[in-house]
Formats: sequence, C-alpha cells, structure tokens
Amino acid sequence: MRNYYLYKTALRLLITLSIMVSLAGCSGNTEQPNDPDQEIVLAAARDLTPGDKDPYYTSSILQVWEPLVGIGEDGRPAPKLAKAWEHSPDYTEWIFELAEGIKFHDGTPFNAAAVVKNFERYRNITPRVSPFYLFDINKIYPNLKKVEEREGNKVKLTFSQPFSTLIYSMTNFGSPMFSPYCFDSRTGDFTAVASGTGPFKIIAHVTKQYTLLERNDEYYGVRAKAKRIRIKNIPNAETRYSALKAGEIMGVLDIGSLTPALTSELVKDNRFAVAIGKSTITHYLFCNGEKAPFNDPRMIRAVSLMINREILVKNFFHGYAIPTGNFLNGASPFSKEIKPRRNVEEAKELANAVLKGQKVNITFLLPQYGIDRYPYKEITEFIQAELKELGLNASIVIMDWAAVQDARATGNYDIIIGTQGLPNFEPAIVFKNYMKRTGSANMQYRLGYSNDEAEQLLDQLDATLEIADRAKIYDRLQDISAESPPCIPLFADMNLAVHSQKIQNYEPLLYGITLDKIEWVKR
Amino acid sequence: MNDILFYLVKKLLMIIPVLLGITIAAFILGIISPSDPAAVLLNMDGVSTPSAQEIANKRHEMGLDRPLIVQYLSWLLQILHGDLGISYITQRPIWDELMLRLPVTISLASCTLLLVIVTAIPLGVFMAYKNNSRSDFVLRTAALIFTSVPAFWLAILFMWIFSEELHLLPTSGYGTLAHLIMPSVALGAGTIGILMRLQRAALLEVLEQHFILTAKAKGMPFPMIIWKHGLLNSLIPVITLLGNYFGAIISGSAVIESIFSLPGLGSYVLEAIRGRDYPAIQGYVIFTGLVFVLFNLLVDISYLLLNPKIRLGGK
Repeated sequence: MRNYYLYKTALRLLITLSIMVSLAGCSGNTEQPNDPDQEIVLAAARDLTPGDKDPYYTSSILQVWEPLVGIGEDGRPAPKLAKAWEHSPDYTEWIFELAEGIKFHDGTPFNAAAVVKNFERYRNITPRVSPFYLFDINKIYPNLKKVEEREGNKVKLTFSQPFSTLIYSMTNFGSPMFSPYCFDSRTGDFTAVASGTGPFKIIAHVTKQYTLLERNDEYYGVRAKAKRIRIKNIPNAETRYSALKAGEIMGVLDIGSLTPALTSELVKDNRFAVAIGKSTITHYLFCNGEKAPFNDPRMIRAVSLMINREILVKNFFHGYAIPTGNFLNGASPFSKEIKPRRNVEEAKELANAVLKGQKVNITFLLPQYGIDRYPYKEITEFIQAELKELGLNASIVIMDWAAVQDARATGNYDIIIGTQGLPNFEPAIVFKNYMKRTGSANMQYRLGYSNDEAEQLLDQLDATLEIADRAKIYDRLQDISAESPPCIPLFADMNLAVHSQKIQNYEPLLYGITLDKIEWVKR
Repeated sequence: MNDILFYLVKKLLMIIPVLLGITIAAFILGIISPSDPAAVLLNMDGVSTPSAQEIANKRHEMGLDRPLIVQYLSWLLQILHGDLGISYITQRPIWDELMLRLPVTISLASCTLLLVIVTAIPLGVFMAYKNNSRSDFVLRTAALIFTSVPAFWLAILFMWIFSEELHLLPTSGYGTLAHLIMPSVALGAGTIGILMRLQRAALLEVLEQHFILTAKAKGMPFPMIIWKHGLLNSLIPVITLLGNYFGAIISGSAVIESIFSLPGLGSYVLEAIRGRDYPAIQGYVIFTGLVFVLFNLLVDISYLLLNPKIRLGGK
C-alpha cells in the first residue's frame, strides 16, 4: 500500500513538472527592464580580458582602449587617437598629429609623451603572444629607428627603410594606447587594470568568468548608451544558445559566437535577431604540394573547380558565408570580387590528366576547432564525396589544431581544411606568406607554391611606395591566385551578431559589435 | 599503536616513488605528444604564420632546445623548490593558476560528493532492506539508468528543462549554490547509480554474516541491526569508491566544467592541452597525482578506523 502511494506521488511530480515545462515554453520571457541603466549581459566563447601579461590586456572589441589609427565605416584605415598624419616623400618619416583634450580613464592626459611611452613598451614586449594578435614591433613597424615627441602634440616616427603602408599596418591592434601609469614600460606588463581612452572602462574582471564594463562618462566622443555591460565567458556554443534562450544573456560576440546552425535555429524564435557583417576570416583547403597528387598544380585546380561552394554555404552554413574564389579576404580594402568557378567536366579532365585513371588514397585533416566553431565535419564529408568523383579516396582524420600543425610540419597529410584571418590591413603579408617560394605559410603547409610572376610582383612590391601602384600589384596577385591558387578558397566567413530583441542597435563590426551603441529597447 | 604507526609510515614512504613516477610520466607525456609548443604558441592567434627562424628562437627562449635529461632535471629541481613553472600561454605561475581554479573544482566536487552520499547510501540501504521487493526492483532499474546515461546528455537535458524552459537555474557560471546544482547532479548521477548498487550488495553480504544472525536471535529490531551492525561493516568498499571518486572529480570533470562554464581545473587542463602548454599540463598532472595519493592515504586511514582487522595487522 505504501509503495502504491510512493508511485502515485512520483507520477504526480512528473506530471506537474511536464505541465510547468510546457507552460514555461509557451510564455517566453518577454519582459523589458524598467531601468534603462540596468546591466546588459553578453557572452563570448573566450575570456576577452587575458590580463596583465597580454600585450593588449583586453580585446579591442570591448572598446576600453583605442588605437592611433582605427577602421572607418568604409573598412579603410581612419583617424582615431591620431587625427591626422603626413609623411616625407621617401616614406621614412611619419608625423602624427594627436587628438586634443583626451584623457585616459585614470585621468592621465593623452599626449605625445604617452605615445612615446607606449612605443617604449612595444619594443620591450616584442614579440608577445596573445589570443588576439601576436604583437611584434618588428613586423608592425619594420625598421623603426626612432619615436620622438614633437611640438604641437605631435609624434614623429623615423624608419631606416621607406614604409609607405604604415597606416595599414598600425590599424587597431597595431597601435593600442594605454595610460603610462598602468604598465611597466620595462617589462611591458600591466601593473594595474588597463586604462585606455575608450567609451568603456573595466571595473571588474574575474579570470575565465566575466569582465564588467562601465560607461566612461568622461568620453570625448559620443558617450556609450549602456551604463554597464557584463561580458561573460561561456566556452560552449550550446550553452551560449541555452543562455540566450533562458534570457540570461542578451547577445553573443567575438569569433565563433554561435555556429550557423544554432543561429539559424535561434532566429526562428522571434525573440531573437541576427545582424550580419564582414569578417576577416576565410575558409580554405590547403593541399600538400610537395607530394603526389597535389605536387601537380592541375590537381589543385581540379579540386577547386569540383567543389560546389554554393551548396556548402547554403546547406551547412545556413547562408551565413559568402562563396569566394578570391584568396584575399573581402574585408581587405584591396580585395576585389572573384566569383568561384565550378566546372565538373573540366575538373574531371584535369584530375584524369594527373591521375591517369588511377584511384589515389589521400589524408584529409579536419582540425577540432572547425567542429567546435563551424560545421566542418559535414563540409568535409561533402567534399570527400566530391573528391571521390575525381578519383581521390579521402580518409578524414580529426585532430586537434596542435596535432594538425605537427602533421603539417612533417608533411603527413594531403589536404587540411582551415581558416586564415587577415593579420592587418596590409595584404602584402598574406601574399608573401603564401605566394613567395620562401613564404612562411608556403613552407609550413608544404604548399610547394611557385609562380614566377607572383615572385616577381612580390619582389617589386618592396620597391613600390605609392599606394595606388601597390594596389595594382595586389590586384594582379589576386588574379594569379585565382588562376593558380596557392590554396583553395572556399568561402568568406561572416560576423554574426546574434542578440535578443530586448536590446537594440546590436550591429556587427569588422571586430566585434557596436558595443557603445547597444541599449535596452524602450517600453 | 606501533602497528598503526608502522602502517602509516609504510604508506607515506610509498608515496615518494609514486610521486617520482608521476613526474617522469608527466614529463614523458610532454615529449611524446605531437607538435611543437613553440610553433603552437606563436600561432596562438590563428593568424600569424611564424618563420622557421622565429620558431627556433622561441624554442631557445623556452629552453626546449636543451637535452631532455637536462630539461627534466631542472624541472624536477624547480618542483622540489615548490615551483611548478610558468605557463606558456598565460605567462603566469602555474601554481597561481591552479589555486585560482581549485576552489571552483573543490566546490563542485564537494557538492557532488555530498549529493552522492546523501542519496546513494540511504537508497542502497533501503534497497537492501527491501531486498527483492518491487521497490528494490524499481530502484535497481533507476540505478542502472543513472549509470548508463552520459553526464553530458544529462547536462544538456537539465539545461533545457531548468534554464531554458523553467528559468529556475542558471545555465552557466560560478558564484552561488544555484550554479552548482545542475553540474553536481549531472556529474554525480552515474556514481549515484553505481554506489546504490554497491551499497546494496555490500550490505546484503554483511547481512549474511553470523553476527547478524546472533543479533536477530537476540530479538534486535531489523532496522536497528542494519543501523548498528550492518551499515558500518558494509562501508569499506563504498569509502574506497568515494575516495577515488573525489580524486577523479578533481582531475576529470572537464566536460561538465566546460558545458556549465565552470572555470575549474578540468577546463584549465583542456585549454592547456589544446595550446600544448606543457608546464601547465605537467603541473596539473603532478597536482592531481598528489591529490589522488593523498585521498588514497585518507581512505587507507579510514580502513584503520573502520576495520579492526587492518588495525590489528590481520590478527
């Protein structure tokens, strides 16, 4: 008898729970906060504030610090803390005129002395790794001889070699400015919370948990709308999705914020929206050009012609990517549109000419990060089926990124699917890395890429100072990379700004979102 | 008394070769793992493509170009001075990193252990008490289900019900007891199932003993027999499992920590493995190895208290 009551109670509990689940599912969470200054909680996959040892302390997307040169709305370098600049005719001397009346969060004035101190720090931290961008003054400011204060709140940079693309090199992460009192310029480490000039200041940070930002009411420009923003660190994509659905967070930001599949699923619910923008990331297939069958460039072309990028984007990326035939990412100011070409017959002919009717077994490496952030598993399987038609029997091997790097170094692979981001706005770096015979990526991936015209143009680039002339070279290099690719571009990523409809003005930027503009939707 | 002291000294001395073995294993793990930490570090941003010279410079800076035996001995010397080294990725002392994450893992492990103890042991005793009844059958089935369901699946299910739909518990983070409820239940469910069955079996075995028959013959009520004579005698296998389990949670709750965004030791080592942060991995292996050894020692000491046979040297 007692057991009967026990079962009955358990059954009641189960039914009550089911009803509660169903009702809660119907109701949704549609309340708006009464207080417009109520904290807005967002989430990112990684801790965006690595802290005192990091060259930047916190990511630029939190808008705590600002660079000398930023990115304009047209995607080109634009004045930020440096309001104007000029250079000597031979591009060895650059003078930056700094914006006036700006103060760091700690009250220290932003002036030429502060800029010189920051450059001192750059020298002492070089090279310093970071999850955002490795900081190496020798790469960002090659052949920099001197940094001097000049009258009239100006700073002069002197180079031993002409550097005409300095402005492209120093955008964003290339010229972060911090108060000289928040770091030790000798070690380069931060001795206090990073104090920048941005619209937000950090008021609390708990490693791997959250960064709490507060509006900088003294900001020289347009003040941020939200008073407080908490950026939580939620590494798991499914958890970020659940946190959005639960109303715990109002939006996601940073790379891999939400997978295309989860984004597509979430926006079916009218409580959420997605705004899309350009990203600096492109997805590629890297082929081992040092061994058969990819030591024959015709095989690389065959694969490029065979892949149906439209289907990949439509079916697996849910439309949140742009099929491309251009090696250079579309976010670069020098990029042009090159539509991908698909021609199955031509692809088969080329493959047949290389393989002579034989079937070849190849190893297709799939890095784990591609499964965590993107639908790489499905994409790889789809490409595997397409490769079969060319006579390539691909075995897919999933590895973590470090193991992929090892396989790459030892040449133990045939194809790797992966991403490459733009290191900065000066595309010469990526072209040289991939298209020069001695380029670091060409050697690391064992691409075996060799193109005489590209080699010549890249050498010519070193002696070409005028931006317009360099642009012509970049233009031609893009054409060469489309005809004879060093690696196969698949599609350009998109920056997905997924957010709750409770907040507004949540728009994607090239790096991050419009954090200073977001606010609660008024009732 | 001398026997107990001898037993403890013997156990403590055995820890030394075990710990030395752990350091060798941790060091070898770093060597045999594929990939070059210098290359991984320089490509940490996923954008940079360092040249061979830059990688070689970094290897030199990290001391990776020294002979392996020199690397091991200097590392061992460092450990003996209480220094676990500096993390390649964060550039901070590994000891500080571990201490930063330890409270999170200890909280999770304690909550889970408490949950396991307060549910599994009473249920196991109840199952033994109601041996072969319908309740016993239902609970045995429940235990089997708990054991079979993967923790990550439970985690996702809980998150859907209690966070997305009911808005009762937070999906992620750390700071309040509410943040630990779902992770603890998801992490502990499997062990609750195992422990329920183990407790039941151990108690049933004890209940077959002659001294129980004697107690019954004396007219002692059955619940009292279980409480006073059965339970204590059936606890040795349960405590062994719990001791090892606590160590296992401290070292291996990476998946649950990752799902619920708990910044504990598990998620720390996962990150270190991805970034080939060998000093961090080695520091973690030594630290958790030490925790395991200490918990085993505590379990052994508990045997002394619980089982007179061990206390009396088997006499």
